[in-house]
Amino acid sequence: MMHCKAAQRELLSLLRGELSEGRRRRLTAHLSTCRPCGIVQREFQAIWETGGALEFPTPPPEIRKSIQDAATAAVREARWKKRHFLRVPALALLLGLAATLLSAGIFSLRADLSMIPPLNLTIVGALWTTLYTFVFFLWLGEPSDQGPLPRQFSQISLAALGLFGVLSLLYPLDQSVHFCRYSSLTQPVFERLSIGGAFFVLGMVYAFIPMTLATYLSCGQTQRPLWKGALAGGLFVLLLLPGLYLKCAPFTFGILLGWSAGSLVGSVAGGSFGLWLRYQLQARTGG
Amino acid sequence: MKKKRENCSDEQLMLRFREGDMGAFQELYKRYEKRLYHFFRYCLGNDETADDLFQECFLRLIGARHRYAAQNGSFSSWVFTIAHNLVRDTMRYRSRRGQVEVPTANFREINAVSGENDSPFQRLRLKERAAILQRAMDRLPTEQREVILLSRFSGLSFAEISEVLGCSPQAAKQRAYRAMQNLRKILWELTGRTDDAL
Repeated sequence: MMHCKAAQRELLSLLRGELSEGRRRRLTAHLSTCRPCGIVQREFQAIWETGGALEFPTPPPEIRKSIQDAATAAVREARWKKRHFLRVPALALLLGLAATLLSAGIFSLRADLSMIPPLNLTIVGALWTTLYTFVFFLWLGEPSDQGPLPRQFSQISLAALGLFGVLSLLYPLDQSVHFCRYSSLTQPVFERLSIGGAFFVLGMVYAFIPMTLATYLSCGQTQRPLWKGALAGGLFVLLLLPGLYLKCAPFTFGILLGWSAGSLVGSVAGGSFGLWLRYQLQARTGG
Repeated sequence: MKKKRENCSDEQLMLRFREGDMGAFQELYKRYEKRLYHFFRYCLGNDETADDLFQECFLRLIGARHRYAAQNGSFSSWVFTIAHNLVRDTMRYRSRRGQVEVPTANFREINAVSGENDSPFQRLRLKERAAILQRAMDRLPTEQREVILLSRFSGLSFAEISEVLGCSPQAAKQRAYRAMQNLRKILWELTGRTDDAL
């Protein structure tokens, strides 16, 4: 025999058709003999049936479209990852190796590599390949519509390095140093800065120009240009460090330190300045 | 050979979507569009908030697709847990800001699905009944309204509702029963007897 309280608690399960045959039979037997429970059952059923007859409008089409777009982008990303699972790291490594060889070739034209011990050369080569591979992986490793920043940073740093390579062949470095040391105009400044300080200034100028050009040309209008430019500059100087070592290792530690620190400051400043300039010009022209 | 999408379970569709099958997502969307939209509209009333949360729910589903694991429960309970959390967060936000918003559906938009052979009088009566029920539902506390929506419209079993609400199946059943009793009382207040009103 079923109690009223227990019977009423089973009413929803009865409406939902979730009761076992035995329980359903016992409950219906109770409902047919107990008037109060029968009333509750009828009321529950009326609520349940009216609820089932309600119909709301469907979501607005623009919401449906934005959901479908998000799903399409997610699917594209999944397919892309599946297709490029191994291809991207392998390609990044190959490009990294090629870029290292090319960079070493360019730097060997302007620096005497025979003065550097073979072990150091090997370590620098491995480090450079790793850095290049990482940057190429950032570039190739993401579809264009997902997370554009790492991709943009890698593009900027590679473009800046390419410009740096070309300009380093054109810069009259030896003449510049000679001019600074012996010109009556710059000699006092050069002496006050000492050789390390002078190379700090030169490194800064050498890094600032390609980085400014690369960020200005590679990017569209962007929010927080100073911060993003500084990050892109940091990535560029990382790529540049092995090259600076190859160029300055035969000289003094002061020159290497001054040149590297100057490059870091010049890269970060150049990156920020290039993006800021682009941002300002586009904001003014409304582009 | 792959099964036809229409014959796949929700869980299989979700796994296929995770692997990059857009058709599987479209099938899932078709199955859950109305159920989720009704859930948000009934729970929150406010059209814009319901629209936003409905969209957010699907965006979260898309974003969390890699974390979905079929062995951890049914897809229905997973997706309604997302919906439940969104409603809960919105209600908390409203109460923190002192917004006591009575969720009221737009009565003009309430349609009752009537039979093809029903007379105009029967259709009108069904619409009136639906409007009364809606008013009664609006007076329920959110958690009771939610459990009724989950048990009536979402098609979830009590075991799945308990997963969504984070309680035992018995507690979910008990909560749904109390909500129905409360709804009856409100209907009495609104109309006299429920079986007269509905």
